[in-house]
Amino acid sequence: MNPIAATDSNCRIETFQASDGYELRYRLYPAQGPSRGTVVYVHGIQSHGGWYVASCRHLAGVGWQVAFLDRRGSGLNERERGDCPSFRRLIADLDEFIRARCPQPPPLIAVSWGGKLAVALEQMHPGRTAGLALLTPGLCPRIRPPLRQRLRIALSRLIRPTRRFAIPLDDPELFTAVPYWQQFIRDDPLALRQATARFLVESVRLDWFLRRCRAKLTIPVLLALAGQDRIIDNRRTRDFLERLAPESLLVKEYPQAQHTLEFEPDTEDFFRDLSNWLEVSRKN
Amino acid sequence: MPPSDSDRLLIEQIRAGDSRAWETLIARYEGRLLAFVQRRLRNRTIAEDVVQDTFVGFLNSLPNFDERRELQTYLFTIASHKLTDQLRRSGRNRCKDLPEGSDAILEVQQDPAPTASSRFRSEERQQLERAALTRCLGQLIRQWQERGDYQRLKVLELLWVKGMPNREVALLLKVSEQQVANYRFASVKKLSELIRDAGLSADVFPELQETPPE
Repeated sequence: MNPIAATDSNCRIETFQASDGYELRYRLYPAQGPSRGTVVYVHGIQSHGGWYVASCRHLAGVGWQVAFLDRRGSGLNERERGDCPSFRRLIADLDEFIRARCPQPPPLIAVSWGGKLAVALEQMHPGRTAGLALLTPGLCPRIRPPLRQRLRIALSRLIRPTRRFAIPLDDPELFTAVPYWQQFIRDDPLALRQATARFLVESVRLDWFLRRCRAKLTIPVLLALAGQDRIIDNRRTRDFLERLAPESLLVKEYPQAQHTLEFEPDTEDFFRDLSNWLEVSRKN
Repeated sequence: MPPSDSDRLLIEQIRAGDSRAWETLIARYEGRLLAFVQRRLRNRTIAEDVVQDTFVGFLNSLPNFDERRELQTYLFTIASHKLTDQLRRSGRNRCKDLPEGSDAILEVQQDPAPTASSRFRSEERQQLERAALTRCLGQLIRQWQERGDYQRLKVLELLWVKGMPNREVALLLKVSEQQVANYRFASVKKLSELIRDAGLSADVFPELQETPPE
């Protein structure tokens, strides 16, 4: 199997046009058997829908239609690679996509950096989703560019916003301990290795936005943490979400897992927990 | 104290987009700012965030920077405000002070019980904020009363005193949500003017523009 999706026969690639004209591509996995509804899925800063084929297939197999949206400038979306006008535009993309493609508020699964967008979406548009499944979300990362580099990026944002900087996640071992998947990441032509100064500063502005969030989330929230995660600060992430969703947070931790749960040697527990949580969010 | 010729030249060069001048400015002040912030926070990661936000605030305010101001004082004033903001936020859920070392930082724990000094700083800050808010709101309320603008008064009372969301205020007072949002925006803008009164441009606080809707 080639996990880079365009060749995956279980899904079809479709296009959604955002309100500013940008064409976003997404993978649609039709539900097998009676449908439980649609689930929307978003990826991290470097990854894309092609990394999450196994979980998408699993969810489709238990009756969910899965719409995996690649972020503008990432994955299948070649135009303005690694760039975005503002973090608000990224949230608007997600919001417009959900409103256009989902008859009911869907559960939203968000991986790593995508977790920031998911939480921000619910803060901006409460009730847009039926629940958030945050898989090792990048709300409190351990890895960031060094301070000097961040300050260079800040100046570049003013004088040359499209200048590209490396995303500081160039070691596949940060994502997984499985050699096959490490090689997959190394060879992945769709992975985002660089982003513009504008994108990186927008990511900081998104952090500011999240820092100032006070409205409690009342929708179900699943927080999946990897015990051996080198990218995410689990304790701070957990504290952050316990404050934001004190009544509706469910935490699942996989003690031996690395950052990308999808790339673990055994994903059975993770997939089962995700399906179970989706079922609960559907009933809610 | 007026700025040195060297600082003035540096600012001119940065304004012209000279990245080497920016590097020079960072090299000149980064260490001192970090030491200043870290003494209070004792957490390298968070201290770096505060210094980052200080430089970003400085860059943001550069088009309106008053060149008669001394650069060092200006940067440290911004850093003090960012630091106070950080302490105020962490005062609600203070980070335990830990010895230096990356492992210790990664294992930073949340302490639900703030210390006396943290509580004092937080209370001190709250008093200052309360005084500033009282002054500003008093002035605003007098202006609205003089103009007979009681609808605006009602809207803001429901928003800020009763803590109601925009939508409910709009429904209760039979005005549009947009109107409620406009009143809120105009009043928050007035608070930004208070910051300017304190001698700093609102541009140095770009994060205040990222407040989520309620």
